Amino acid sequence: MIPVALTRPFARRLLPLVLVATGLFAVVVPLAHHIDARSRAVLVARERGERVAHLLGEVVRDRPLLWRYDALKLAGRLQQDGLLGAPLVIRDRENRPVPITSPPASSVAWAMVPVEVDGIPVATVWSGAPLGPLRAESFRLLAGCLLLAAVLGTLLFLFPVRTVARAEERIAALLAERRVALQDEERRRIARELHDGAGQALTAARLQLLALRKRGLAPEDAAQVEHHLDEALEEVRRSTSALIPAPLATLGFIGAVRKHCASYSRATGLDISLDTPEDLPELPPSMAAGLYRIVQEALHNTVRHAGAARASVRVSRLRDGLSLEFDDDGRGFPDQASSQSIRERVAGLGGAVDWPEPGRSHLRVRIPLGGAPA
Amino acid sequence: MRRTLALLLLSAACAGDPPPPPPSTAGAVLAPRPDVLAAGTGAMTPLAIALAREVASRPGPRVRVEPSIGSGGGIAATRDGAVDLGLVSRALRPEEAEGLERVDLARDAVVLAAAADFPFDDLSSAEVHGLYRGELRGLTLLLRDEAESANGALESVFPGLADERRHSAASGRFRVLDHDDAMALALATTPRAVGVFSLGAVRPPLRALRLDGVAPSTDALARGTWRAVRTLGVVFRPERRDRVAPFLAFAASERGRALIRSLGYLPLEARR
Repeated sequence: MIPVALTRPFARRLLPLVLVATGLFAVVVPLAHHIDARSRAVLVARERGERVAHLLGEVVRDRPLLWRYDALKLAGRLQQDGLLGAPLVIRDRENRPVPITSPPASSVAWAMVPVEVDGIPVATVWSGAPLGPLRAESFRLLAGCLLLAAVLGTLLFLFPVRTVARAEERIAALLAERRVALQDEERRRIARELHDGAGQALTAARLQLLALRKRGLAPEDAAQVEHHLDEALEEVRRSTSALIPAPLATLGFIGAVRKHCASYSRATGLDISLDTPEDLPELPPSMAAGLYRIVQEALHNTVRHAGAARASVRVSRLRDGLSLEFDDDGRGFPDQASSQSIRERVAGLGGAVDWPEPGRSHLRVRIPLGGAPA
Repeated sequence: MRRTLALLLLSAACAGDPPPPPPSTAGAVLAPRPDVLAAGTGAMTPLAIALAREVASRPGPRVRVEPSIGSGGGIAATRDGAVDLGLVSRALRPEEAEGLERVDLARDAVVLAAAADFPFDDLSSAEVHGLYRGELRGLTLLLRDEAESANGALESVFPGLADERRHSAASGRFRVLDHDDAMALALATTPRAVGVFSLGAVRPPLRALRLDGVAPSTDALARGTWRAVRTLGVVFRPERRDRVAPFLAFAASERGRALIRSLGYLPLEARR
């Protein structure tokens, strides 16, 4: 398969973007929530401080000289009105504390409200908003956002990368397919050239030689020249057959496979059983050639590596394609690396291979019928 | 632009005002005054005002009585030197008594007071409990704050009343008043209202109710038949004894004791 380097560069460029985007999301959302919640808490604290300041103003108006000693009563009123549930600090004009018991003031956002009576400042109220629960809530939100960002980041990264990886595979398959088609086309062209050029010329030369023989050329010389011409013609036939399997053109795919199995069995002593469907449609030339070569390669592997006595070839129709299965009783199929030609031919036909397990020989090739190049 | 944005973010993140500065530890000593300043429990305010009015006609400094700030407030103000005389209606806690002298002046009858539209003149113990439990329909009970000494005096006579009062106060169905003057105003203006009060502070249109057939009076106090009682006194810093001595002397005098009795209080022998 032709290597196409798309996924890694894409992933390298995508990763920082995803990290920045998800990181911003994970931090900005809790931060915005914290800022907003803190502002609202301070607003609530200020409203409470203004209510306390109003009550305190009444106390100061009633007891202008000694109001700060009425703190116990004031605390009772504040308690009654539910205003002592959060930190509260009251100081008189000289910054002396007015004893009001309220929750301890650690980690608090303050709202300061001055208390004036008839325009004269008499005291200051600090109303506190405890930040502990708010911080805990913000940290919980941060944890949730981090988790969500991790999930989103993974999806945002993996989904496009897997899409690009699939596209890369598809492009590589298309390139391989195109290469095989080009190779087949080139072989056919060369075979035609050999057949129409050198083959015709050699045939003509042989006929010419026969004519010369009749006219008195020494039979021994003529026989020698004829022998050389026959050798040359046979060489051309073998070459064209190697480029485009000759039986395919005359017998079709099934006939060619059947003939090859028979001749191969005779030549090697391998017992080959062949199972083919009767209603197989005519295959595109490149597909027929590719499958024929795969059968040849598989049988060749059996003899060369497996030391098998029996082999089986089974061609069957699938719903949308063709299945070619091969098996033998030998030591097993060689590893995938040594069957590069099978891999490339299957990829070129847009198919898939189920490779045998180690020590086994059952090989299955599936080829789609719709998309194969003509 | 970036700096402005950063400042905006920072200010939003730190929303709020600066925290309160460390408090001043200076006491609240008021500037020296020619008058003797008195403040504290509202139960004693009418008595203190009446005594001060008499003292004013004599040689020496005048006594000025401030609006009530409670016994606790009076004690704290006296300790701070903000007032010369603290008016108290309860016993002092040990930490309060330190550095102060106390003189008891009178006994006060704690009563249930009501306005003219209140339908009863006499309440039985059961009715008092029912009132505090909110079981008497058509009547309005006005409560005093938890720190009020009158509560303790009345509740010493009616066992279980303290819990009923606290339960009623916590229920939110009853108004809780913080001062005697607020209670007097609320009793006068709230239909069919009743509340704990001081006999010496009862003025028309208010009246004190009989409890279990016993009418509150100085005679009943003297006889001991009226048992809801609290002791009224004053506290002062020893170094201000000279400033408060004319007031104490008059309160202990025959005329002063007669005045105390005439106001509805039972005068005591002046003792520390």
